[in-house]
Amino acid sequence: MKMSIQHRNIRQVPVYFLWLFFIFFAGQVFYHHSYSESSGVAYKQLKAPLESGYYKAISFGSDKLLSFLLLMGVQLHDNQKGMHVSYRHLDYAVLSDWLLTIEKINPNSDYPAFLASRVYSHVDDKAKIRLMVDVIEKLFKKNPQKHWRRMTEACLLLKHQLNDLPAALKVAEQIADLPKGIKLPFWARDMKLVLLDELSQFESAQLLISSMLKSGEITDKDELRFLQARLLKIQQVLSKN
Amino acid sequence: MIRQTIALFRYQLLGIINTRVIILLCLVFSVAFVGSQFIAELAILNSDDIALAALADFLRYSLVILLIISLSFQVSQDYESGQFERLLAMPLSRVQYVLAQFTVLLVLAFILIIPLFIIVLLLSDSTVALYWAVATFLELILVGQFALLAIVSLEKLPLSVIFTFAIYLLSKSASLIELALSRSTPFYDEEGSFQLILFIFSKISYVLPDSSYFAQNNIFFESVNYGGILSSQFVSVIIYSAFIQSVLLIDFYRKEFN
Repeated sequence: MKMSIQHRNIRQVPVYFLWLFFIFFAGQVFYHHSYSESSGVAYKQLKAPLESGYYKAISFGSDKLLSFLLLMGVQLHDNQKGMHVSYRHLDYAVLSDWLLTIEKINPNSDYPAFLASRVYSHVDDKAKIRLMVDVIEKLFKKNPQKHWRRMTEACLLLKHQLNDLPAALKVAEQIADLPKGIKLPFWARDMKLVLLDELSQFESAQLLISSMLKSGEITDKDELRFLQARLLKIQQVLSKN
Repeated sequence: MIRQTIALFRYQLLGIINTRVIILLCLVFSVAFVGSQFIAELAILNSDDIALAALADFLRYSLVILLIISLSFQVSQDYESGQFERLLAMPLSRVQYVLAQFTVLLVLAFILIIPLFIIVLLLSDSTVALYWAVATFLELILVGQFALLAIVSLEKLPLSVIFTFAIYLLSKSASLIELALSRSTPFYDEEGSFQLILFIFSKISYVLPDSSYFAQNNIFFESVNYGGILSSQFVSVIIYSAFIQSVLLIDFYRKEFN
């Protein structure tokens, strides 16, 4: 004969079990609430970097590798406790110090300028974007041949993100005024025309990225892949519009 | 004489190379490869170069640690098991023992760099792989001789391993110490103790290897004259090896085994 099971009335449950249930339920809710709060507060800001000389000294001769590992450490800083923290929470003054310090450790690398122009400039805070443009300008002044591409990107950041056309034109002038000995494609020297043209943010970006890709200046396969993905995204946005 | 040295070398080498060491090597190479691929995933630019440089550096330090421990352990066993007394009772000179140990070091370092060469070759080109393998081989020879000197002189395994690491780290961090001292000079320039430290360090640095004695990891990020830096490292290591071997022989001949 098949046994049937039916639920009894809740009053049949001993009252202390009900109390235990409420206590543990409240405990769970309280714990979860406190934990969420603490994880929010526990976001740690970037610590200021040491002088570049110290990093070179502690690298045991692998200073270039250390510079990249430090950059990755900075890159990963916005991922804390399994959460992605918005760039708005980052201290961009300290971030600028990091990028400039790392560039001193490894002056031949384009990575810090790349992060400034393509990664950390994607923040909805004009003061922070301005700091990244300052970083790019400083790096450009140190090594124009290496960083002119980032400078052209800074022009677009100033025009479209900061709505500061005069500043963008000044930056474009710095590129145009570079000595002829520094090899640049013609479009980089003519950035002023790109800026003065009535192009939207996406149209300008499309023009800049296509020109960069066609120029053959970019040899790093990771950057090529990054720019191609970016171009595809921009083209999709433009085709929708 | 040569036959006896070779026999001793074979005996010593077989004591070092065993299944556990091979398994450990496989594990180290696997961890290095997986770790470097993880780093490559994190990098937005230059991911291949960064991964290769990280892998090469990790393997270099792992092999140095493995070599120091293996060599020191083998010689310490000779001390503990009374092997020296037996060896010296045979028609075998002390210089033959040192020569056999040096040959063990050469062969062990060569065995260790073969997989290193293969893995770097798979991830890069033959020039880079050859440079890194030869430069790491020279570094292993240098550190291995530190280890031999330390274990022969100090006789105890933990003490000699710590001493070897200390000398290795001191050589590698010479620039850090110089930087720290130069930054401290304005504050302590007039103090006698500080002047003494400066004097001691400047004298010690004469008998310590500097960065040119070791494999240069920066070659993974810039084009260099491989022949130039390798020949400079080779000459430095040869001269320093002769110096260490002379110290080792003097110390070994002064030992009395009862």
